[in-house]
Amino acid sequence: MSLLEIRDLTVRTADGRPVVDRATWSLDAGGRLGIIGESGSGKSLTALAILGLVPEGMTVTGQVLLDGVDLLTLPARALRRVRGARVAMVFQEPLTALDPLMTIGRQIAGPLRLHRGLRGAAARAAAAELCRLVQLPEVERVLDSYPWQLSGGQRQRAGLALALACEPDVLLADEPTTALDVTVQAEILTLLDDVTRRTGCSLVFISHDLPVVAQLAEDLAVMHDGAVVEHTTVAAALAGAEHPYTRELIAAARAVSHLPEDR
Amino acid sequence: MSEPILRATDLSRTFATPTRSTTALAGVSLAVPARRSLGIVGESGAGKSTLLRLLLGLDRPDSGTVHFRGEELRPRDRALMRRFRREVQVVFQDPRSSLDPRMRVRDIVAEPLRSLRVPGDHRARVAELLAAVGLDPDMAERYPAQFSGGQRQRIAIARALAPRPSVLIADEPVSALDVTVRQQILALLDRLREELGMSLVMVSHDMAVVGRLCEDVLIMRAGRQVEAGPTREVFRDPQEAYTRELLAAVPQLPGA
Repeated sequence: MSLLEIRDLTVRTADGRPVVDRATWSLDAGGRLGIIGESGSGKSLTALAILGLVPEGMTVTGQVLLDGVDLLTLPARALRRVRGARVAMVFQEPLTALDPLMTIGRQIAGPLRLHRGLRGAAARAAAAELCRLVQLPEVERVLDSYPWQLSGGQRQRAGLALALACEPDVLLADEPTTALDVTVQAEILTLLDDVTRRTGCSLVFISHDLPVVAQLAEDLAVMHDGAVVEHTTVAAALAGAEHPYTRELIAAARAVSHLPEDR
Repeated sequence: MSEPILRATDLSRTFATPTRSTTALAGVSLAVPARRSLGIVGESGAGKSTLLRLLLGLDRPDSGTVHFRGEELRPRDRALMRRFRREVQVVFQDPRSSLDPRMRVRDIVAEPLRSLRVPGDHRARVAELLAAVGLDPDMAERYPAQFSGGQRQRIAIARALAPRPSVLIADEPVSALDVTVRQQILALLDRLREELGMSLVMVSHDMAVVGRLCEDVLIMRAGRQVEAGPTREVFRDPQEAYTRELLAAVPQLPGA
């Protein structure tokens, strides 16, 4: 059985327009799925729907099965025990995901207290351990820093530490490197790869950038206008995609991201 | 070699507050010859935007000079600045913020013709420009909000081309666009430069985009120039560790 499976997941706006349209894919334990699509394709809303966090007024139908349990049917309290603890998320802009009024140490301690019952020195020690896991420098200083005192790359590492606080089974990463400089992006991608391997956490990596997805993911779900038009492996898609839109994305990525041959 | 259209020599710019000062640019030089394309690459804080503002005459350097066709750019010399504005036009990163939402497309595209007092039939010129950037001239009556991001960038390009500039300066022109659209806008810029015989100065954080469009490259970091030269040579045989780091950081699809 898959660890996480979505079946016919549909998200509608208040006026009934589907913005995610019968999306279906599955992710095995330890798997890495890349969701690729352009703006408005429904990839971020898919992630939010999995966590029960779609904006007010939108309706979600279909199934989100985590170990066979449909998260969409869980009462709010039970869903809160899943969110963060079993399925966690890293956002594009860590400044919006991190609370500006709280030190990094206190923020990471939040889920540790809520889900793992850790307090005081034990929470601090666990938070420091997480900071080391995501290779933040000067851990003690970082724990006492506010988000604005960190660089963009450090903030994203802190966001990742926060997401990993409760040893989730699935990490949803929504464009986690898009707001970063290219050399910092390379570091964060390596880190995500390393951390998910070491913790055995499954990864759903959402991006508009196919070369980035290809670097990290094994499986691929291609979204276009709310629908998953192709669900395959990255290798198979690159060797010969079935859907014309996937082929178009690959051709554009090759043309745009490709460095001259004769380097 | 004849005088380049734009030449910057040893530009420096420091921004100071009462408590501290930041050197945004330190001793950067470049030349933009006619019909040549230059890519300026760097990460945040490299000084790209400061350099661009100086090249456009929107800010003055603390030291160093910008020459336009052999004459030093002096913002107070209105006759010179008018010739400069006519010949050097700019396209910004985000067409959402660079197009006035209350203006119709025809007025947006004709705006430089009006402000630079370019003689001729502006309406006909707008139709011609929209066609040149791949938009239906019938769209001239619409407002920016009625267009997609890629179409809006085409409108911004049409506006920049209106006064028939000899240099087009593009600041991250495709960074805000989807990848399939990015590809179309890059192809458009490349084709227009070729057809119109313009020079192109493109600021980008993306080595692949610069590698595709620019004959020369200037790599910047923390306000200084790290490496400069013909793009092919710099990419094939980078002399500086930072250039190699930037090249290595570009995510590549396996099996080209």
